[in-house]
Amino acid sequence: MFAGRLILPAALAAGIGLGAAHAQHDSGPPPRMTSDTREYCDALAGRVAREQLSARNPAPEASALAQEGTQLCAEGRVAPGIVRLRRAWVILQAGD
Amino acid sequence: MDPGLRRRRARGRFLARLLDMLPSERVFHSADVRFGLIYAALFGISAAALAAFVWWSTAGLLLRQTEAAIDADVLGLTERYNEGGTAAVRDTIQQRLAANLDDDAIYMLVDPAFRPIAGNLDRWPSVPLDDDAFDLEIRRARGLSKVRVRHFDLPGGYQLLVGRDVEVRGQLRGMLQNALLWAAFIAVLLGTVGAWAVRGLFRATLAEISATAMAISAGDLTRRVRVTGQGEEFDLLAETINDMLDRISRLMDGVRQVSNAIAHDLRTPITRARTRLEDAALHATCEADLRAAIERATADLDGVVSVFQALLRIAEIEAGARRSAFVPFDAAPVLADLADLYCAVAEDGGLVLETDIAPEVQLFGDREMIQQAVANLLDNAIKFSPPGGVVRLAARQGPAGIEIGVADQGAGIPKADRARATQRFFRGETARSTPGSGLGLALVQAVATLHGGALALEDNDPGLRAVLRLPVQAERAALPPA
Amino acid sequence: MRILVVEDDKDVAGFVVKGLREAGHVVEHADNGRDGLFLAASEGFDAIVLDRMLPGGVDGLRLLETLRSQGNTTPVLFLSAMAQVDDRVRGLKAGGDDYMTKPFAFAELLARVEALTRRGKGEGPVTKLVVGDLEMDLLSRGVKRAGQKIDLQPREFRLLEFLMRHAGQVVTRTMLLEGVWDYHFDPQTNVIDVHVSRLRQKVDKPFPSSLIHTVRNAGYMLRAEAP
Repeated sequence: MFAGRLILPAALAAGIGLGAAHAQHDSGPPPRMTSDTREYCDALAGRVAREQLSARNPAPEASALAQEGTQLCAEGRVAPGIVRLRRAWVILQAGD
Repeated sequence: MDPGLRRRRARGRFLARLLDMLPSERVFHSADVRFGLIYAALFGISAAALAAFVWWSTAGLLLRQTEAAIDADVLGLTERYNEGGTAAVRDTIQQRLAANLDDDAIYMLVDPAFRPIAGNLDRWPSVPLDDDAFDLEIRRARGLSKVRVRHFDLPGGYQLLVGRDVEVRGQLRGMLQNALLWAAFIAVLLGTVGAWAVRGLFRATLAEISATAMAISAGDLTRRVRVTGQGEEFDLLAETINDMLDRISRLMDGVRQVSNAIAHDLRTPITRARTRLEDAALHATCEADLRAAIERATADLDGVVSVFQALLRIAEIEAGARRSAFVPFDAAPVLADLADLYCAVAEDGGLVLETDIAPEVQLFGDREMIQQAVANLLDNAIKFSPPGGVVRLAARQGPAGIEIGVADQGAGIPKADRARATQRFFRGETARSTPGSGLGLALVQAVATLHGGALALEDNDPGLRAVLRLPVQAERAALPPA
Repeated sequence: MRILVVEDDKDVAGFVVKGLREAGHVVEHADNGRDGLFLAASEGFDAIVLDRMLPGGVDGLRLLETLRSQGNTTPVLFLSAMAQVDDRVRGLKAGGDDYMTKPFAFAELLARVEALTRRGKGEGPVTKLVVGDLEMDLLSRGVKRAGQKIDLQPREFRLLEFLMRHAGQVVTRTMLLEGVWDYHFDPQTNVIDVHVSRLRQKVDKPFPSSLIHTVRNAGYMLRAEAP
């Protein structure tokens, strides 16, 4: 007797209520990325410097970028510093 | 009553009232709700389809891009491994990290003891090793980030992870999802409102028509359905109903007219018959007198019967049912026979009956009706013509239709009376002294209308010219106005 | 003649049966369809007067259809209060030979019933009609009385032919209208009388005796002696 009257609200509830279950793989603390730290910046700067030395025709932008990058990292702005160093690296790689 | 029972009763009533507020299943039986639901469903389906497409092209694209990038990476690393083993992979990873301008690459190369060899994660993530591709959460300088990685087993127990940081893309995806959900919600809302509006519109139009119909069946024949000038189909329905109501109204007027006329014109001969019989019963002195009175009364009653027959015939014709028995036929011989029949009477009255009938007068209709109609016209013409005149029966066939005319040189019908001449029982001043019931022209008019044509009463100067104009068959398909 | 009257209205039935008996016929009466059908099928009649509306489940139309399906060809005159053209057509289609509407004049009924029986006798193809000293040649379309040729218009010829074919019987004005002019309605004027009087001018007036007689309240009759 009541069943007929409950059809509508039940349908609505079913429509709205279904949510996707997000299964999360999570056991223990998450791993730490190592390529955005000050240490990495230094290591990258070293690499870039080695590339500059071994390059036949180092482009001038590369050294400018490398310098900027190193300076930024020294100031503590690691992310933009790493970006510039990476750009310098890419230019140097392309130059070979 | 104990308080426990009262409480239970109250709860039961409350529950019942609550459920009363929900729409019952009977609601689904009403047409307007169904209409509204269909509208809402269509609206909802279209909106859902649009949302699905948008989702697929944006969020899907993002995912596909990520997968493609990882694939390319893996391909490259595989080649390097084949060239130079794990050492080559390690070097390549370092170079790629150095070149990773987007700052989104994830690599991890570990030895069989899970010690990192190359990559940009500090340790191997604690994940089940048999999964091939999975999402991972890592911590980086800007916070927690979600990455999508693929896992490879290298010979010698080495393991490799290749992935991409999808945090930004995930955020984008989240925003899109949010937006679409909101859009869906609004769509549902609009759909419901629209459905309600549609239902209301539907109901309003039908309500108008059914209200008019109810008023009419209650007796108010002057009501008509309102034509809104907005919807083609509904207006057509309204107009059709109005036409039908007009016709019903006219027919009812006709009935009223006839009832009034009958009341007068039939009572007279009936009264006369009755009077004669009563008079004879009271005052007759011999059998001959009785017999004479009875015979005259019988004649009077026969007159009443013939009036009834004529009325029934007119009603039968006006009802239009006989139209289904129409056939194509040539009216020329019918007219010739009628002329032949009436010429003797005409001559006796000192009249000349002229005929001018086309060799062929093709007609689509009822032979007997045409015969009766023209006979009535000839009857009238002969009756109302003074001696020495000419009665002319002419019939011709034109491209638009046929024309049958009966012209006399009698007193004619004054212009003022011509419109009413075809009403039942109408007798003009000039006709009052001649025998007749006043139904002749009414019958001719009914026959003309049934055949989709018209009767015209014109001046013959002097006299009257009655013309029956009937269209050719092709135009007969349309319903003639009653 | 043996006539069967199937009519449920007591007054009408009494009236008709009495009138027919007075006219010299042997009359049987049934007041419902079943009895009527039984009588009609089992006994031989020269004509049947059949009411359209009958009680008892078997109405006039069904009765006639059953009779005809049994091969019974007795001529039938329908009597009906239903006067619409459709009804007449239906009655004739069911196998009826004539159709009259109520109320009716008895003289009309008598004339038509007698005309039915004459028809029923199944005359073969006739080329000549003779009544007294009047001769009509149907092939040459010529009319002679006492040897003298009479000039007739085509319609007058047909009128005379109808009268001659029903010689000795009452022919009503309605029958003439239907038979000669194929006109099925009641004319307001005395059209028939005028035509008959013209015919008389040609056929009777120049001769010592009259052949065309007026039967009061009924119609006309063509006969050598006065009725």
